[in-house]
Amino acid sequence: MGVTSGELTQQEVDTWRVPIPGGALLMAPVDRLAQWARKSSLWSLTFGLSCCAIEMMATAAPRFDLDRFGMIFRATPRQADVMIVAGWVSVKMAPFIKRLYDQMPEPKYVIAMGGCASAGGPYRDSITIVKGVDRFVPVDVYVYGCPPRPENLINGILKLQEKIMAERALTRAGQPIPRREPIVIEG
Amino acid sequence: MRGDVPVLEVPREDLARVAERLRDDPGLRFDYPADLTCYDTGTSFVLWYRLYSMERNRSAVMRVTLDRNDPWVPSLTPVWPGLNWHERECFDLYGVRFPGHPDGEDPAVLRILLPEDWEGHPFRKDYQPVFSGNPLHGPQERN
Amino acid sequence: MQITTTEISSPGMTVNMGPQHPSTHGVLRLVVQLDGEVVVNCRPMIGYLHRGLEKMMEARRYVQNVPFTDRLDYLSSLNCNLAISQAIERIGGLEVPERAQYIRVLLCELNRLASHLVFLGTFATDVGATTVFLYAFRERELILDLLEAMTGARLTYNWIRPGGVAADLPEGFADRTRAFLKTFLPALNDNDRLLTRNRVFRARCEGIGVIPREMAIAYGASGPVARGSGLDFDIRKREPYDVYDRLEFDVPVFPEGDCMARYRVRIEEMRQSVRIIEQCLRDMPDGEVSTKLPKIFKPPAGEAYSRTESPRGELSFFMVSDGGQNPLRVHVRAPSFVHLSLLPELLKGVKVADVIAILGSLDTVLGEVDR
Repeated sequence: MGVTSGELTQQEVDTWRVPIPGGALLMAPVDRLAQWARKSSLWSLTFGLSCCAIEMMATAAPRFDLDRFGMIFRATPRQADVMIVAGWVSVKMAPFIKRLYDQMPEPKYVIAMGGCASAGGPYRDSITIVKGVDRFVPVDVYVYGCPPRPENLINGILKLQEKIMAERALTRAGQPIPRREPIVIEG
Repeated sequence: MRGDVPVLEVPREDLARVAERLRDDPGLRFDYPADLTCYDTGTSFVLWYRLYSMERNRSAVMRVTLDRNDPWVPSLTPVWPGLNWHERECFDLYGVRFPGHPDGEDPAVLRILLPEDWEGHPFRKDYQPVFSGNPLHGPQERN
Repeated sequence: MQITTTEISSPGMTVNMGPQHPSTHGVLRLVVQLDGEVVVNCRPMIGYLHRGLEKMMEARRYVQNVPFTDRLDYLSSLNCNLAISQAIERIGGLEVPERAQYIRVLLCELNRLASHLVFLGTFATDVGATTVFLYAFRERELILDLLEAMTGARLTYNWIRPGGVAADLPEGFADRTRAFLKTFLPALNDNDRLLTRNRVFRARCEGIGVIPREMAIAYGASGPVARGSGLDFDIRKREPYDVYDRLEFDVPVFPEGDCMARYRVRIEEMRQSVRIIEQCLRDMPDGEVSTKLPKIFKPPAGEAYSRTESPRGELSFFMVSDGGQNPLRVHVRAPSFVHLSLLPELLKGVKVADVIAILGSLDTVLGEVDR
């Protein structure tokens, strides 16, 4: 049972149960408990820019259903944990994306959905497209595809959940929040 | 171009008069502004208007050839309000001026697709972008 | 257009809606000047998705530009593919075989159904009826299954190419489509019943955002926006392309010009699309599905344009050739671009809460507005 394991198995949860007369206590490391709560209820900022947004809507729709992962879409960045950048990032829109990212409270995560948000997509010779949202915002998971299938997006979200589970929940006051390594999901 | 669509080559001086005639003449009644665009032939600009008559189900095309060093035509927004944003787009991407446009002459107000402080008109054949190196502002490098 | 008078006045308040907003479909920014609850003036600001597609198309061969069009109006990609293919065919003098024409019509009408279902879901969500979003997307998934069986993609199909379509229908496609249509019409009637006579929906849509007939013509409105204002304007009837002149279908026109009329136009259009698809499946002849393009495709110098009826309105491509392998100019006349220019005039005197309903009823897709 490592504190840094990205997986949360039923066995591990069973070890947390401490029976006492009349019932049981749950004793778990703060890291595991807090990160379990964080990953199971990722509220996502409604941030669809273009075609990938339609696939994101389809992922939230009945067939693929994001709600079972605890994800709901919130309109305000102040209530969001994860920003799924779905669509190409134009230079006119980029300052707004940066502003929204700055408005999200920590811990915050970014999923770059689709080829455009990851690296500029098919618009490699456009002078108004920023070649990847990671040029100004740190990205945690890249999901490739044009647009990525809903299953692929869900795969990306599950990988993000594993990443969250493997983190430490708290940082010492005054220390910078550690930079996370991004994960790349091929389509 | 399809054979049954008349193409009118209109010099700039007559443009406003011809436009009103096309819209109001009871035999023509081209009341629907379908499209306005501009293209750069390398030696000149050509403004291309496409009009449609709702009651007669007919299309017509007007072409105006402009000098690329000083491209301007009188704004036809008073004749067909639907050309408003098309004229703004032609200014934004090609630099064609439309005196008489409801939004005036200020580039920051007229620009519609590009950021207000963009310099230059990118669709011109002689446009050379100056890459800003800043992902939040200005022309972006190509991959 | 009443201005409500209150004791408390809040003159000249400017509210910025967007570019990130739960209800603006895509990245649209509306700067709205208010007097209390009433809109005095509004300025739509677009360009947040501008890629300069038309300029990029000048650097590629004609056929290489077709995948770009998927990403223009991404809800009806096949229609955009069709529009650019028609323009390339006209400028290059290419013929399309009959079977390919039937397949094109079939695919475009399926795409129209999918697009109008997205409209249904998002418009109902804007107005407050969130459940319909889930029902509409469930039906849409069935259509996307069919299109995926045909093209391999769910959203950006790149299937209608100059000269025809990329490949023939897969085996069993006709039976699967017929089975789908049988289940679709009752589902559509269910959704219709949920909304059309619902008192809350009607209060939010009737009389809201009226576009008078003359304004629709003067501004160049097309598609359901024009037909909801009493204009009998459908390019499939006025300037038929492919096999539309052989198919029997009606064009719904409602004179009121409000959000309700535009919504009803789209619902009726879905029923007519079902009729068209059934006729296509019945009448489709055998034959080739594409004309072969020459290896070096150099159309003669000149101009050409195509007009199609996309689910949003009149989608038209204008192409100029200088005799080379790349086009000199490609221009996309997007219906949503024109409809958004209606907004400043349309929103004068409207209450803030109705702005979202009106915007939703125009059914704009910002991908084609900004290009």
